[in-house]
Amino acid sequence: MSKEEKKEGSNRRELLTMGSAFAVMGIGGLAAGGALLKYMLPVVSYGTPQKFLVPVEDLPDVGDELIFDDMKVVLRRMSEEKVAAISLVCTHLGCTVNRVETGFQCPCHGSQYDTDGLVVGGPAPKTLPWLEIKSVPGGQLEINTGTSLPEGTDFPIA
Amino acid sequence: MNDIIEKAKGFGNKLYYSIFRHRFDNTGLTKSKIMFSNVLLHIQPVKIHKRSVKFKTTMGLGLVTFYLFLILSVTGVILMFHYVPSTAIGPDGLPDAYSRMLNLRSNVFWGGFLRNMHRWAAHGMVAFVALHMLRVYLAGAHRGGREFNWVIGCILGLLTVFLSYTGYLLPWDQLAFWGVKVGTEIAKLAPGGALIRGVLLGDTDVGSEALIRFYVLHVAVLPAIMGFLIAVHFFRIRKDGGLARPADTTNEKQIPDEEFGDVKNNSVFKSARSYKLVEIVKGNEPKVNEETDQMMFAWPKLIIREIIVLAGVMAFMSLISVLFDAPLEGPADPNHPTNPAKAPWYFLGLQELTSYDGFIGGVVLPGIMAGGVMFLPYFEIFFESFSKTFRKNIPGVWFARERNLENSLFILLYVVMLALIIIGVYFRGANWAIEYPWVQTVSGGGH
Repeated sequence: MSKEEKKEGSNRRELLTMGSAFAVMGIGGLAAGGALLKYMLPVVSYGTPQKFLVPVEDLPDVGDELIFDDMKVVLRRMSEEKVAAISLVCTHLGCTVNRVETGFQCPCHGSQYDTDGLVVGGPAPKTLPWLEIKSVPGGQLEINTGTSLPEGTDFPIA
Repeated sequence: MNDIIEKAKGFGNKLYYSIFRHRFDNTGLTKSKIMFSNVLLHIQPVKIHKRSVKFKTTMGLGLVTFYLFLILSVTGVILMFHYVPSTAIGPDGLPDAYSRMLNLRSNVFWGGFLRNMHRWAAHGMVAFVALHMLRVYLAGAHRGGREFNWVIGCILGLLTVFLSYTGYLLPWDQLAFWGVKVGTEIAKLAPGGALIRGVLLGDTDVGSEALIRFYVLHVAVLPAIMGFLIAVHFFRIRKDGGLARPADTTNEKQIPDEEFGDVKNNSVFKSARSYKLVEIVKGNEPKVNEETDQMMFAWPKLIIREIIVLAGVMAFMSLISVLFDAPLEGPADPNHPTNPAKAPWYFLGLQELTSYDGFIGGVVLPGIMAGGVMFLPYFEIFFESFSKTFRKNIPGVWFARERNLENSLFILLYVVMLALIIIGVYFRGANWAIEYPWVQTVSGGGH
């Protein structure tokens, strides 16, 4: 074995040692990082429930509205048999919109919607979501705030 | 009797020299010893360039920023004794975190003052980070081997903003709740944003989990990273040879020598050459020969100036904290934002941008801005090497003619940001509609 070969060999050994050392540390670091990320992800949601019930007898008169603050929903009696619900969460960045004469307005970034939730001004990218309403036994309506239906979707009261 | 006095003197001497290893005379050796035998002072060099102590060189902006960080650390730790990061509703019908704020303001001795100081120092730090950055850029001090320190400085700036953001969540008032709500909704728009949002909030929506997470980030994680990076930031200034300065400073107008007094050099090395030993090091170290004449001892002239700045900052912050109460809105109401719902002034430019488009104004533009500014020196180098304009870079000189274009663009960036902030603070009223402050009072910009 000549001197040069020896040197090359030791270089290779060095590279292998250092390489495997760094590889082990790298894998360890990645694993720990991944585990930490998983550790930080939400496990249980303490958020508000998505569905809520409204007794049929509490429904507003035709053309009137009822606002549910906690659920951020406005319930609108479309006709004698039909009812609809619109979400009050701004489609821009999640603030609660205010009901005004012309429709809805957001106090955070100035999004404007008409009475049907269609965007008429400001940065909002989408119409306010209309929500699904189900009749449940006991003369109640179940409104699901997790849904997003096109504007004008109404449901029978029965 | 004399014997006892002698023994007492001997004891006193031993006591003194066990604490300090030097006297306070006017020799070069002592001045060096003072600097390198003290853990706080040794961060700074024994000898500095004369132009370093001139107001015009740095305006003390970085120093003020650092002092504000110290004030924030101290007041922050003290405030922790009276704070609980909990949204649980207490007997007074308010969330714990919020009632702790009321408690600080009305019951705790000195509590209001400390809270004011913490809040105002945070605002001041954001402002001084921006000013310090402007100074560094306009003086070209981000070039000539200091590019990476500029990057670290930018990270420190982002950390400052993120610390402010996590900090104003803690009172759990309206500002806190809706600031975090909107901020994390913006995060959701970014690529991989749902994951970031989940990690930040620890829940599907802003709530008690978010408060705990932001609290830990605010009091432990971010300050630790910040402290480490500040150390790196300072260390690199030392290793780059002190503050940026032109290669030849012999013709610069300096503070006259007589202001520094005579220095008797009775060190063991006898002549000024003792210092030149360390000057043989390659790189940006002080130059041998002509540059040594421009060097001065850091003790006492630099240290005294630093202490004066510290005293000034303390006095000013105390005055502000006595005169003005830190803002506190009503307790967090997850159902209704205030109208208008305004962020603190340093975010109002961003809020103004997001009021045109959420994704472009909230993610794309701020991203380009932060990234662009952070890697600005590298962009400069890139364009210089490709357009083959190997200009003479003059670090440490204000408004160097060679850098007119860059400086103008950078100032323009500041002007645009400032304009957006002014619009946000003074021209946005209820429902974020344009209002004119001379027509009606615009509310909500006082954070």
